[in-house]
Amino acid sequence: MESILKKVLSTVSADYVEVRLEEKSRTSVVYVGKELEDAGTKTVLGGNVRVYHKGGWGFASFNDLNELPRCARDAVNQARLIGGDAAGLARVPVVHEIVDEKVGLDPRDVSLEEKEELVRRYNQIILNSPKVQTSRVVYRDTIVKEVFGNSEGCYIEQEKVYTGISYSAIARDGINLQRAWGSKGDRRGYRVVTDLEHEIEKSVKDAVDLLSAPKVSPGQYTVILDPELSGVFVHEAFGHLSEADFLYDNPELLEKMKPGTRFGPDELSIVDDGSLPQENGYNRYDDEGVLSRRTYLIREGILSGHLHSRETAGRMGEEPTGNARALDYRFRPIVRMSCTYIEPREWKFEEMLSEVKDGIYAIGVLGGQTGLEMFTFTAMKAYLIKDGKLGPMVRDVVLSGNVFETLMNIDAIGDDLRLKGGLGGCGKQGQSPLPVSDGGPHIRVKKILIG
Amino acid sequence: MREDFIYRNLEIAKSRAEAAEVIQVNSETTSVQFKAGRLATVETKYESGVGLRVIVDGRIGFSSTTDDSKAEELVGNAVSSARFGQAARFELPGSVEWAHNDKSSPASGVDDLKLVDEHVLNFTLQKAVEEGRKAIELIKEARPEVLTDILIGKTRKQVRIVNTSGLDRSYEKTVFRYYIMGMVVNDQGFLLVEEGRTSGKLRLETEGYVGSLVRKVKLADAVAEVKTGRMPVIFVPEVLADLLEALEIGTNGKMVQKGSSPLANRIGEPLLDKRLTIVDDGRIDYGVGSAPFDGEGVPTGRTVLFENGVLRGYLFDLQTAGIMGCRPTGNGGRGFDSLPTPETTNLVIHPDKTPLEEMIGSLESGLIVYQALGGGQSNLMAGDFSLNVHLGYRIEKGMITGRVKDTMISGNIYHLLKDLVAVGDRCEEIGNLQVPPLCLPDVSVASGI
Repeated sequence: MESILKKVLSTVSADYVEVRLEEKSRTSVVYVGKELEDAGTKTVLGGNVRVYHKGGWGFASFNDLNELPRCARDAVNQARLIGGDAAGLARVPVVHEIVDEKVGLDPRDVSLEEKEELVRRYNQIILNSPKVQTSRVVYRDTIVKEVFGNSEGCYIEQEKVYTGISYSAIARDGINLQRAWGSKGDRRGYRVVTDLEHEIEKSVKDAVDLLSAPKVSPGQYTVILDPELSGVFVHEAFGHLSEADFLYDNPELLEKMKPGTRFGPDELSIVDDGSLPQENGYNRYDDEGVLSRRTYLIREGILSGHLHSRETAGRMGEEPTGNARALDYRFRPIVRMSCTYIEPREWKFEEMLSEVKDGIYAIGVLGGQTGLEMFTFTAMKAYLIKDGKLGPMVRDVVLSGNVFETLMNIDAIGDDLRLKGGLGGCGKQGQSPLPVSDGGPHIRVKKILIG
Repeated sequence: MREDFIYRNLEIAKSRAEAAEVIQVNSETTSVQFKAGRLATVETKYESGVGLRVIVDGRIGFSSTTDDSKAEELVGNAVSSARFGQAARFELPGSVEWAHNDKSSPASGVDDLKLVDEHVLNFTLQKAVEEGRKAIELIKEARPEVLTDILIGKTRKQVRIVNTSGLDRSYEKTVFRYYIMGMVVNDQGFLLVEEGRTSGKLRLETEGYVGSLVRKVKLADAVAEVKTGRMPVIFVPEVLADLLEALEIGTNGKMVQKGSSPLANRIGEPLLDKRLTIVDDGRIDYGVGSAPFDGEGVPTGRTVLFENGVLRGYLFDLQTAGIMGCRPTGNGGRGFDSLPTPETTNLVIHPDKTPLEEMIGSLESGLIVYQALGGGQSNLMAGDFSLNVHLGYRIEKGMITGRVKDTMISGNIYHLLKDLVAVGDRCEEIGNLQVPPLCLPDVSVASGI
């Protein structure tokens, strides 16, 4: 492989050229209701050439390896078409490394029969409940082999093994339909998807309980977020705004996102760390061959860092952070989060709860989205809090906030940090779902708008 | 990918399966992107892959690849996955489905469908760059504080399906994308306005997009307050996808089959406002969702979902139709790398008679919403939606009085579409939707101010 890459790199000339080849093999088992909808393996082979020349990018992707020389020419010509400024990429060490994946039980060592049996068993747990209308259980493992080389002499081979599962139960009572779900997934191997019977039974109970839960009344609430939801909250509320590709060419926005600006209370620190092995968002090297690392986005309430690609770091004169990631060979690497979380503090959940007179305890995640300033995220289920005690379950809790206010309204940060991956991921500029991990401890936030 | 790969696969599969079908998809996409007014990226993407579906011992197997050196492996994977597969409840379409001589045949008229716009094929990168620069200049003239991102791209796509029932058909289509995103950062916070369209045709409407964008930026100069409560809300076509997803789920034959659609067993019931006729139409010239046949070779058609508010039909692929004992509707949607599943082609809502200006003018107190956050996060299966108003304005005494922020809107589609305030008189093409603005009564509005 190395010789193919080197040969292509030697034939084209521009300020910077990189070549990526990728082989992906994905095994899925999907049950929906009583029917097995999918069980099998698919393979994808592809690659791309990306060229940077005088401040502009050319990019060409292909499935057919024979197209590589043509794509290299395309990408160079496209980059030269732009011919803008002379901004350089941030300098990084030239690496030559073969990265092995350290996985527990490798999903390749487990037969398709065994995977199907596991998913069928989980699915049956859901269908056994008389109030359940239907189910959906998805098992997926993805083995990615990447080869990366650039005109600076960098050469990296990385193997990544993702294993995960998601399960949902749909309960029905007349025209009332309610869904509860859970998901597990990371780089630890096949054991991440085994022994989940208990969690699945809990989801079934949640779906059935949601049938009789009333809708939450719209308004502002003090909300306690569980670790999973606080992870999605920090991802949507602040993570995306830390991505420097939104910032470097927008002076007004940059002014608002200047290091030293206060965004939260002293207790609040937010970290993005792509160097946590076996987590869903882990990468030893990002998709530009930059070593992943830990970056404080907010430290003690103060904005202290941005997430960078080599281009944004170069243009802003900051350190590259190893956050340039591509969904697959069809896409250019853009600035993305990896494992993003709120650092834990001293609060116990019971203490947090006891101080809330009127509020909501929101648990689990249905989704999240940001419009940079305003953002939304949705709880899977929630309970009313009355005079420091948990009350009845409520449903349809969609929470919304504003980056300039909501983080300041965090008034308690728990001691129980949890990081979560899963089968889903993050979406940006059409690249979705990119594996990430989000996390945090329980946190309490005042004045959250629920619609 | 070599021309004969698809036939070689079918040949190998034939010897190991009762029936087999190969789908091949090739596409070439080129695009230019401007960032903050500066040309930043030019891209080309070549994609090609094949999917192989087999029926072995009455069961369905599937696999796909993009590597044309792996025919044997592809067939092996597909055949071995059939051990677990569902019992096939259909036969692959062949000459019967494609008989042309009869007007009542599902394939009748299919050759008249227009999918390739020569103007898209001939549209050059240089022209895209020129058009993008023009848009940036026009915006700069009108509102210098707006930072502009632009994407202009075109795709040429070819689909071929061959199967052991003798089907061998292909088509080609073009897709053109043009989006302008304007961003303003000031003391009021951020304002992001998106304009543009995706279409099979070359919709190079720079002046129109810029005019609309600048108008929305101007309207946002004023900030309006809204109190938590209930009021009518106008959803423009651009934002209707967030609501109509609930109807797409509800009329999806597979959701009906699994019992997870609230519309199951309700054909013939008046469920929506009398003014609402909603149709799935796979045969609109240059439609984003149009094709002569679906992902399994069934001729596309026109399926009435709601007629004057009365539920009339669901959308099916072959397998789901087989299980339900219904006729397939030509809605087996898929890429080369997945099995078919029922999918909307183009979703059309027939217009009524209220112009948008009149809709706004008639509201004593309400909102008009152009962009929303959080679509797809709520319980759409049950018809519930809950959205953050990303770009929306307050209407008071028939006039737009300013932008609202930190505002959520929520309600239930099946409830709110029962009795509309008004249906617009003109459809807009928004991706695979062709829909007029709708004014919904009594939407729950929550304000954070």
